[in-house]
Amino acid sequence: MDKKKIAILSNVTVDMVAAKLRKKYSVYIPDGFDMWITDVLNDESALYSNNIQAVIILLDGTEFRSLRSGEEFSQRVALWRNATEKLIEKITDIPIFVSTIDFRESAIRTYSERKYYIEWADEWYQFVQSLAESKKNVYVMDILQRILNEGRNSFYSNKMWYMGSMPYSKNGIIAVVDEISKALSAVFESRKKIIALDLDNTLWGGVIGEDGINGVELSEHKEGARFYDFQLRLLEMQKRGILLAINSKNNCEDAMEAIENHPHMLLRKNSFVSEKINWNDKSSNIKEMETELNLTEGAFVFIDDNPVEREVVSGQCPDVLIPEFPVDTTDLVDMAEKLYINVFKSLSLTDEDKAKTQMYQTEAKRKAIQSSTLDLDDYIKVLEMRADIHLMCDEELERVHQLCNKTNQFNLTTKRYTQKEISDMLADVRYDIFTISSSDKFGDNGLVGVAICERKEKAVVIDTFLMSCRVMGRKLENVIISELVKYYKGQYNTMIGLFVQTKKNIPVVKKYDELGFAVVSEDESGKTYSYDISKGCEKVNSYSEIIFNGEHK
Amino acid sequence: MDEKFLNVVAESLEVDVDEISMATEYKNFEPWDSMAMMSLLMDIEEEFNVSIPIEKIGKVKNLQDLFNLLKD
Repeated sequence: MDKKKIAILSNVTVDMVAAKLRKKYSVYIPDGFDMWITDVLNDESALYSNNIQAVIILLDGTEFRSLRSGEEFSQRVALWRNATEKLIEKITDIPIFVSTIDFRESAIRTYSERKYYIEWADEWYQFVQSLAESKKNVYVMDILQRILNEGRNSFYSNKMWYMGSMPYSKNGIIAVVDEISKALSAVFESRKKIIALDLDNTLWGGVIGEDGINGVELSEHKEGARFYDFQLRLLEMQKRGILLAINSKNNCEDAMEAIENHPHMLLRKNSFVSEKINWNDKSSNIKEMETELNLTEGAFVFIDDNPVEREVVSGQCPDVLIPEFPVDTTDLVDMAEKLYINVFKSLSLTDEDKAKTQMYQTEAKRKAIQSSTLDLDDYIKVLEMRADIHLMCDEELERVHQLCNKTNQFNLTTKRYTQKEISDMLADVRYDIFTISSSDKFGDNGLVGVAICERKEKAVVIDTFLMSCRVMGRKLENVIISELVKYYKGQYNTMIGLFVQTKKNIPVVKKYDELGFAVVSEDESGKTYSYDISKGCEKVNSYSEIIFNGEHK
Repeated sequence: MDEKFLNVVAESLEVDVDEISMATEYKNFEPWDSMAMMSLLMDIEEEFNVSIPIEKIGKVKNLQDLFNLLKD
């Protein structure tokens, strides 16, 4: 696969940072030291022509040690601010990360003189944060927090600064590369979705079956607070769309009693999408959850204090991420933060994310109906399924981008598109991007599917066809194809479907066959199918309502 | 120690150890540019647990000079 192209704009020498990132990315940096502002202002710059897919503005405050007055400072920062604003005016559709800044003011001040570095850092932060809040493609890369965590003495090197205007030490370079890599992985890589948690000595201290609800360690202060703070981090993740589940060997009643009634539990029954509290093998519990929630093994993180349990799960479920459990549980809170940053942190919070736990919980209720009604059409009728299919509008960009990059199972071609590529297609008359939303009597599922159709000369080609795993198995794909066939009838005779196999899209290997498409050709890269539009397509009658709108909004 | 030094240098400059010797010159060996010199310093300072003063670095003409700094 081609390396993604990124640009790093900086006021210091970042060649060594770029060199490390080049293992994974194609990295553009402007020629010449501190040329980033000139580069931003130059319309002819490769920055704007090179198919760059993400931009990092990485600013360093070491040069402020050489400034002699607050006025010099203000001028310098005004320049940075203007250049940043200019860049954001010009690039509106690919992610731009703007760093926070550690201003390293001189320390030669008496105990009573004013120092400025805190307010300078704050002023810059306010500026960057307001950009992130007002522009949908701007994000904050908080390098300042990283420097504080690493410690300046370890992060910087005076020698490198004076030799080559490169402020970082070897450790500093590693930290900067790591921060940039994490930001880029939030753009380009799929994220984990769910944490399966042990209970005893993980969510609280002690063993509930032996110590009882009053005996376990969990409190807002002192020792018990290490579990309270850990739960708080988990709750914060849950509110950002990360699912939580329980995977514990316990008597269910004992454990639920603590979960429901312990005065300091932050995570209650409604925080979890699945509770496996039994004496079964924990790996089979995880496999059950996969089926129950329609998630792949690779979506799971498993946290357990017991190394034997971790070993068992890692042997049986190799794709589950199993972090080391801290030997000293005072480090639980750090572990949670690191885990979040490494595998969950996303660019921004969508409405779907906020309601995710609830969506999965209603899904469980739906499953309960499904097991009592055998026929799929009956089930769809009982659910009162509704579908709304329309041509994508600008406001849906973020969610469509998220789906294109996160959907693994029901994804016929698994093409990962950047926001820019999607908005280019949106503006291009050759492409019709349809979004699919669905709802049922338990609630709104939101925007759950995307179909990108390319108008070729003789046929319409389904370039991308994907659906969130939450709504699989409800004939929504039949609804979509039937509506698309109706829409393109009269314009085209043939609809082409493409299937590209990945490790994860096994559930849809036969999807086009099931939908009545015929195989035209096949090679290692995948299959090409065709559908005769003139023969029409059967309507799905079990849906309570199907709205289709092929007009551009 | 000579051997270890050359290995560290080769790895830092991302070249084969056969391509360099103590006589390799800063001016005449392409992979050893000013940027590589900075990485190289960081690597040997870490590897040999030394700190090389900036004054001495300007006088380095070949790897032997650099190696001698480790012993000062």
